[in-house]
Formats: sequence, C-alpha cells, structure tokens
Amino acid sequence: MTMLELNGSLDLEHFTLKVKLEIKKNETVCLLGPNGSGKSTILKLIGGLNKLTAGDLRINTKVIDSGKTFIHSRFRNVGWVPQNQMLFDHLTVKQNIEFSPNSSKKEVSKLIELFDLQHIQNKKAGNCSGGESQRVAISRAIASKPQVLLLDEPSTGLDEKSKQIIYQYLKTQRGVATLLVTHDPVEAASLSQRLIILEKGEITQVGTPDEIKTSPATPYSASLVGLNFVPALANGLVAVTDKGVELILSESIQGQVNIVIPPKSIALYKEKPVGSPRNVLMAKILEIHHFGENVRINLDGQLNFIAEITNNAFEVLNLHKGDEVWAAFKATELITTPT
Amino acid sequence: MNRIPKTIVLIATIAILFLMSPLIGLLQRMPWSGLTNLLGSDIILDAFLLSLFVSFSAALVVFIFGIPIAWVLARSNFSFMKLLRSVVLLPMVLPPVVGGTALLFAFGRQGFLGKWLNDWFGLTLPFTTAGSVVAAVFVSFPFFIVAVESAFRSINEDLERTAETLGASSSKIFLKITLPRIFPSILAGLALSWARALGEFGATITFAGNMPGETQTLPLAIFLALETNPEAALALSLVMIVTSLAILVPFRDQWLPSR
Amino acid sequence: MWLSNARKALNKTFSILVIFCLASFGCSKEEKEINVYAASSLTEAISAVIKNYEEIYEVKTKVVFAGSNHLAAQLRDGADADVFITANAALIEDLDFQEILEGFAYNSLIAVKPVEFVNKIFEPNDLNRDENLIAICSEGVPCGDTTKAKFGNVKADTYEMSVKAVLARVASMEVDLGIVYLTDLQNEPKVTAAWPQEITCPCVSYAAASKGGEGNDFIDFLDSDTAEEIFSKYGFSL
Repeated sequence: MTMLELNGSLDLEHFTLKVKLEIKKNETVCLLGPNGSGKSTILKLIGGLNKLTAGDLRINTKVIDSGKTFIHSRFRNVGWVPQNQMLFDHLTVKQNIEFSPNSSKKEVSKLIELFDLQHIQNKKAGNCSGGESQRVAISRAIASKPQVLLLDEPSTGLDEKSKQIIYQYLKTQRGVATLLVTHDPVEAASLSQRLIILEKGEITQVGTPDEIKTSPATPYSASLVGLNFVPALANGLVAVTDKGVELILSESIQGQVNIVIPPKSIALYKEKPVGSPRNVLMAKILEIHHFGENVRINLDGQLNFIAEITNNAFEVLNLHKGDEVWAAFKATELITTPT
Repeated sequence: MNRIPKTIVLIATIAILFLMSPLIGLLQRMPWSGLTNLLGSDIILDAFLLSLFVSFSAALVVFIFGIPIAWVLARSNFSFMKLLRSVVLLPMVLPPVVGGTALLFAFGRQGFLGKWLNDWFGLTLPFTTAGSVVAAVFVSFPFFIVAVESAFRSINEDLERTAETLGASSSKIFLKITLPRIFPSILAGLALSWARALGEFGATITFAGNMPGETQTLPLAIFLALETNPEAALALSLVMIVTSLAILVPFRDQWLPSR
Repeated sequence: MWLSNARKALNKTFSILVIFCLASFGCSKEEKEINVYAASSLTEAISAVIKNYEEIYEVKTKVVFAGSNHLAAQLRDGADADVFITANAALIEDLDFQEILEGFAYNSLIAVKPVEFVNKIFEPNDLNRDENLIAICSEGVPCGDTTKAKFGNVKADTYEMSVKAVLARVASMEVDLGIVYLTDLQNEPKVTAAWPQEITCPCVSYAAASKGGEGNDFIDFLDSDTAEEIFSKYGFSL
C-alpha cells in the first residue's frame, strides 16, 4: 500500500527540484545525494515547510499539496526530524517528547525506554549531548504518531551508542513509512530496502542497494558503492575518456560506454611496472582510509579513482599521502556497458 | 578570563568617570541633614507614588501591546514594514516635548481622536493620570519593541515549524515555545521601558500638564523644584535614583542576557 | 570645500560690517557690550527698549529671555549678566548686584478663554468649578504667586511652569480658562478676556539690577520716558 506519493517540482535558487517518488507503508527509503542536491528540501516539502511549484503530493492517497490544496504542517501527520534536531531547549526531554497533542502517556514512556532516555528525562533538552538530542528528536517525532517519518541525516556526528539505538529502532519498527536522508551509503544500505539517488534536484537512480552496486547509473552512484566510474568513447579494444586517457578493453565495442573499474582490481606500484599488457596510469595519493583488512586510497591523476589494497600490501609499499604511484589494472577486470 | 588590553581599560575608566561625575556632584550637593524633613513632605510622597503608578502602568501597557507589535515587525516581510518600524521607533528620536505636542494634536481636546473621545465618551486624557500614562507609554514603547523584536528575529523559525509538524496549534507554539525563549528579552525590554517611563518629563508636561497628585511625577516635581526649591529638587533626584536602582539592580541578571 | 566657502562668506560679511561700521559711527575701537537677562514676560517690551537704547548709547546688547527663577538659578551657578530684570524682586537678594531698580513696570493678571469659545459665557466663579479645565502658573514662579494673591485658590487642572505655557494651553483650546499676564493678551489673537475685568493689582512688579558701568545706564534707561512709553504701549502699568 502506497503511503506517500510525490510527483512535482519546486523552483530553487540554482536549479529546479523535480521529483517523482513513492514510499510504501512499511518501507524505509533512503534519499542519497551530494550536498546541495535538494535532499532536505524534499523532506521540507513533505513536512509542509515548502510548497510545490507544480505537481502534487499525497499522503495516504489524500492530496496535501497541489495547485489547489495546501494542507498546513499541523494537519499533515508527518514526523519531521530536522538535521539540527530543533529541540525545545527550555523544556525537559520528557516535555519535548510529549509536546505533540497526538502523543499518549503510554507511548511517551515506551519511547523514553526504547531510546534509553529514562535517566535524562527530566534534564533540560538544551543540556543534552548530540546523541541524546537526536534520540529525543526522533522520539518526539514518533510520539506524534506520524504516517510518514522524515529523518534528515539522523546519524551525523553521533556517538556509537546513540547510532546503534537509532539503527535498532529503524530496523525493527513497522507501520511507518520512513524517508531517510543521508550521505552515508553504508547507513543507507543497511537501513533501507530502496535507495533513491538525487543529484542537482533530479532523481538519477532508484533501486535496491544491490542494483546500484552492480549497475551504477552515474559517477556519483558508483562512488557511493565504492566503484570507479568512467564514461568513455570506445573504438574497438580502446576507449578514450573525455580527458583523453586511453583504456584498453578486453572485448571490442563501439560508441559511448560506461566503464566501471572495481577498486580491488587495481594494483599499486612505486615504480612503473613493465612488460604486461595492462592499463597503467600515474597518480598522486589524495587520501588514505583504513578499514578492516583493507586500505582505500583516493588517487588523483589522469583519472580520479579509488584503489583498494590489503593492509599487507599497503605496509610493504610504504605509501603516504602525496606520494606518486603507478596504478595498474587488467582489461578483463573492467565492466563495460554501452549507453 | 581573558586579559583586557590596557588601552581598553583606560578608555572604559574615562567613560565610567564621566558617567559617575554628575552622580557624585548630585550626592555632594545633597542636603543630607534636612533630608528627612524634605522627604517627608506630601509633595515628594505624592510625586513618588504617582511616578511608581505611572511607570508601572506604562510598562504593563507596553508589555501587552508591545509583544504583538514586535512579533508583526519581526515576522512580516511586507516592504511597508520598514516604514512601520521607523514610525514605531520615532518616539526614540523625537524630542519628548515634540512628542507631547503631537500627542495633544491626536488625543487633546481638539485633537482628531481626542475630539471624538470627548464628544462620545466625555473622556479627556490631558490633565489626568491616564494622560501621564499615555505620555509615558508613547516614549517608552520603542525600547521594549527593539528588545523584543530582535529576540523574535533571533529565534530559528524551523523551531516553530517543527512544533507545527508535531500538530501543535499556533497559540500553543507561541505560549510554549516562542514566549519562553524570548522571556529574558521581554524582561530586558520591560526594564528599559520602565526606566524610560520613570524618567519621562517632556511629553508628560506638554501632554498631561502638571498637577500634584495627578500628573506631577517625580521628574516634573524636580524640574519645578529646581527653580523654586533646589534642595527639594536634590532630595527628589535622590528618590528617583534610589527607586530605579532598587528596581533594576535585583533583576539585573534577568534583563542582561547571561553569559 | 564647504569650509572654504563658509570662510569666504564670513570674510565678506566681516568686511561689509567694517565698512558699515566706519560709515556710520567712525567705529570706536573698543565696542561696548552688555549682557541682559530678562524675564520672558517682558520679551517684546524689552526687545523694543533695547533697540532704542542701542541707538542712543551705542552699546551692543545681548539679551537672554527665560523664566525669572530659571535665570536666577543660572546666575547663581555663575552665568555672567550685567543686567538682570526679574518679575520677582526677591530673586535679586542673594545675587551679586549693586544697583537695584524696583517697580519700573507692573503687569496685571487676567482670566482668559479661547477666542473660539465666544458662546461660552464665563463668570469669576467658574475659576472654582470642577467642570472647567483651567490652567494657571505654578506656585513658586512669579506669575503663579501673583495668581494666588489675586484670584485665591483656583481649581486648576494643570500648573504650568511659565505663563507662556498657560497661554499656549488656552490658545490651543486644550483648556477653557487660563490666567495670564495682561500683556500676553495683546500678543495672542487666539485668546480673549474670559469676562470683563478691571485692571487691578495684586500685580507682578518688575525689578532690575545691575553690576555697575554700562549696566547702570541701562537700568536708568528703563526709568526714562522713552522706556515708559514702550512699556505702556505693550500693556504694562507704571
């Protein structure tokens, strides 16, 4: 059952936001996009803080924003958790959560327990830490018994404990259509069934985390799942990128293609490797991220791309930020799709 | 605490000395020995009680009407709001005597509103305590509005919008969210406008006249006494200083935003 | 730019003054000048007197008009005046003046109403009725003390600090009745006598004091026929 349907546009300062999206009753959908792509604006549209220029917005099949109708925020039954929480600092944690006239005592005490706020329920909200504030803000929105829950970057800058409590709730809760804005692909993939990618006001891809991982539609989508994405013009076994870099392909193909270079397929060298029919590019190390067994290295050169190597290899190579390295990858590792 | 640069200290000291010296002059000339006699006189007692009544009434009126005005000024985006703001703040720059004359033109017996009040209700504001309150309200209004308007502006509107999405009515939001958050500024505005009302002279004498027990507030009594009985004027000034300190100092923490 | 313009203009004025000065008097090197402090009720009369005095004595006169008490307070606090003309002789006592001339002119008080109130007929008893709005001078200032002496306890609604303020209240029709100087009646066409009144005393009696020199000349001049003529013309009694 579709709980929320948005099909409309809104003129913003630098671009027009054009969106068509649906959320089902029990679904959590993540809205992913770079800064300034209009993610928060979509939440504000649904919350009634912005008005559509064209098109319409329905919640539970009822039109709440169109050329003719505009239902005030107060009557939308939408739980908005803005990025900076907007707690009522002068009220206590409990008073914040029970602020909505739709809240019930029972529900409030349940939420206080669920979000582990018992020990601070009489504390002034203004004195809460970032993590506590976010837990209060989410509880407050849920206590208003919303049909749609809107979360704007709910885990940014939070302590691990708060993050876990919030994730736990979002993974187990049922019955509230949730739209979650984030820029963290890991969070998005772990919390939601469906991802919506928004770039410069337009939806560029919709799909499950798996779908996006296997066939990213744009460089941004690819970067989200950690893949290198290179549009190029292919002519037989060679493809040329828009910056003039030649990549050797394993299969002959003609015309415009998207080439995905999996980061794990890239090998790094301090000296230029010789004698193998591989793609070899020189690049400079921009950033180094350690995680788990592997190290991800952002490289900048003729192409911008990410390489992922093992900790062992990283130590043997003795790499540092700013070093110049040679990156090599086999033609057979490239995934080439015509567009 | 940060070290304060020596030049700053020097400049501040000069300014403080400048501000203190008239006060010292006043205290130095004060007829301490005859003070009890002077302070016990009916004229001083009347003027003192009247001043308290007028200044607190003015503060009350300013409070009741000032909050909506400040709210409208802070939240409306109409271009004529700029003009309206200048009009509201006019009493701040207008010489009070001019203000009093203007009040006469409006609410005096021949004024365009006063005429109507007089014909229909037999109400005349000049020469009544109500007239003194009107004069005090007129001059002290801007002080309250400036303080409260900027407080309204400083509130993040998303805070109120959030409360709306939670289903709260606009009156609940105003009473539970907006008002409590600007409460310190309201107190500050009240203190400022009360003090201005207490010291009001020019508009009062022009609009409300001078009648002991009815419109002769402390500043009027002081002015009259300055020409006829300077010692009484000094005693009256002392009463004013003590009164204002007694009201303003205990509430200092409230009307000065805390650090 | 404006500064140099101003300077030019000033130079011009100055040279014209010098030429004018040379042509008319042969210009004494030391120009004599006196400061006069005078009660504001005398504004018009004293201005006329000074005009005559300056022509005859070739003395430049600077004059300040204000309430007598106000002037006395300024003099006590060190203001410098060669001549002090007051509506209350008692104010001279604790000031540093040598020669004193008392009673060179008198001013009578009169109950007045706005001219527009032609149809409102008042009688002396109206001064004691609550339903009339009445403005009088405050006690302690000369016109107020004299008002009390002449009219007794008036049921006033406002005690003004100066007789001019009373006059303004009546002229603007904010009050029904006011008590002002007889001389004011001549200068304010919007005000008329409240009922027919004889010019009687108690009156305000003017006194003048000087510190000697040119000041003495001025005081003597106040007693002259020329001055007396001017005072009568403006409605003062002698």
